[in-house]
Amino acid sequence: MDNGKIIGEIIEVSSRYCIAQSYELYGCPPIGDIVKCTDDKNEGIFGVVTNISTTSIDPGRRPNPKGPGFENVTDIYKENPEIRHLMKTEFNITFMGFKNFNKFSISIPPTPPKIFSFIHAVGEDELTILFSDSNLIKFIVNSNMDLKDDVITLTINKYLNYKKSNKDELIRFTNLLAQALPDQIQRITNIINNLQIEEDLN
Amino acid sequence: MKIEKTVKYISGLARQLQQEISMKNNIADSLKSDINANPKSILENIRNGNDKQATYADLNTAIPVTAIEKNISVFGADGSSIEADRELPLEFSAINIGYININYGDDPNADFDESLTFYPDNKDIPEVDRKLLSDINAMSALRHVLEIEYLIGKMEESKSNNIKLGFVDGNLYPNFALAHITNITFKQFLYKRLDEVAEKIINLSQQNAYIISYNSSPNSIHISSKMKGKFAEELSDSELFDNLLNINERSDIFTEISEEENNNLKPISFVFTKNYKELSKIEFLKDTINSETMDKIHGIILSQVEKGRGYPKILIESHEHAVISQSDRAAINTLIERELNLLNINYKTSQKQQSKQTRNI
Repeated sequence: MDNGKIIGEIIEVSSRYCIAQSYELYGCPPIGDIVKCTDDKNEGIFGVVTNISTTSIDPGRRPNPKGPGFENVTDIYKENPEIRHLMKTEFNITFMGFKNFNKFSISIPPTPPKIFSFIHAVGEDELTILFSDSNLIKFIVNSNMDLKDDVITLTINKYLNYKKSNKDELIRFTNLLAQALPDQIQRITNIINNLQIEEDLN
Repeated sequence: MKIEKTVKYISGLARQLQQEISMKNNIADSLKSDINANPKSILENIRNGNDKQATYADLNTAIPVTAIEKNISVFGADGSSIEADRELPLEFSAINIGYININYGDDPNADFDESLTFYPDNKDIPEVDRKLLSDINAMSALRHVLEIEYLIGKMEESKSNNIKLGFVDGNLYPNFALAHITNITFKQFLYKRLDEVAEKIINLSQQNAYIISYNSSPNSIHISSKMKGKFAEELSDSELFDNLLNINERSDIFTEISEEENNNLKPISFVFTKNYKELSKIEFLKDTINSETMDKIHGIILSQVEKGRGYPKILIESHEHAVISQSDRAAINTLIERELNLLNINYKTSQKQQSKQTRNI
């Protein structure tokens, strides 16, 4: 995904989270990715993707199997090009920070973004600033969201692989988890064990 | 509602139907033998695919489907309407045309569009006045004409080099509705529009673009009514050809020579085709599709039927796009109320309508 590219718009919003629809079918970031919501006024409200769903645009119509007879899924879409017009991909974003006068804060935004605000991928600089804040992990841990541990794992995973981080970063995150989840050793261990770091850490 | 009486009545009808089906199967078998035994027997006022007098032998023509081309473009248009409601203070009608184009092959893509028009006071069709709104047949025929015109317009605009096939639902001409329009002036207006439509269809056919109508399990009797035999009149064309064709086969091309003197419309040809779900009739303007082209089109039609699990996918989607939902209709009522309130017009429905909505004891 290109840095800063607009990938969708908000279609439902509240103080703690929003639902966005991607412009392209399946064209949304994966769970755990950090995204930015912008409208013409705010500098950026950040959130983490916590759920993705693809459904029919018309709730009264459900997809039905197109096969048998296809060797792969790509062929199904090729043989039925109208599908992309009849389905939509939505993703849930839980807010975890905002930017105001160029200063980042890890908390829910004072005012949620507007409906039809753009959803962007987050650039490297902003990602680094967000993850350098020690409150980030604690905030995500304490947020109300589905699949929380999976989201935490994927979020940390994404950042470590993106930055090709060293072992010190992994230790830092482990410490942050320990502070956010006191006396939950098993849970912390599960999260760390589920990380899939792409390169050997120094 | 008295349930027992209803159940008894419906059971009686179902038993009657069972007997009818059994009788019709016997008649169809008997007719099949008759066709084989008398191949030269004439079908009056019916021409065959070679534009010659059709005989029983032509009924035995059963052409299997051939492989379809890789790059094809299909188009579909369907219409939906809001009929004028006498109970509302603002009396108007709306016609929504849903359209879809799907291109298959090297560059698969799809395009949707729609066109919404209101009557009366439509600048393009001033012929529709307030009185005509209550003529259901007139508005139904108009809708049908608008569907075909929209489809033709879109196909003319299409830059695709593929073979193009446009689908409309039902008969190519809105025969029933036209026959029951009481306003002669409007009827003539529609005939003129259909004549112009026919010219455009002929032009399109010279550019590898064709328009057909797809009639699902038709009740027509074009052929069966011409059969000789005591009980032939009991059968419809569907029932006759269902026995004559195997799955994925089509009949010869037939044209019925109309005896109506008033009918200025260009003649229609048709074929019957049997798919894995039902028998259908494909209508098209005479001489726009020859047998060789129909072989290509037949494959496309069956492919669409397969994608749509029994009905052409292109027509399913154009219908979905055309439909004016209950929530849309409710929104229109809300809009009417709001607009009238803004102008301080006292919005109320008739007491009859009020009594149906409130249903007091």
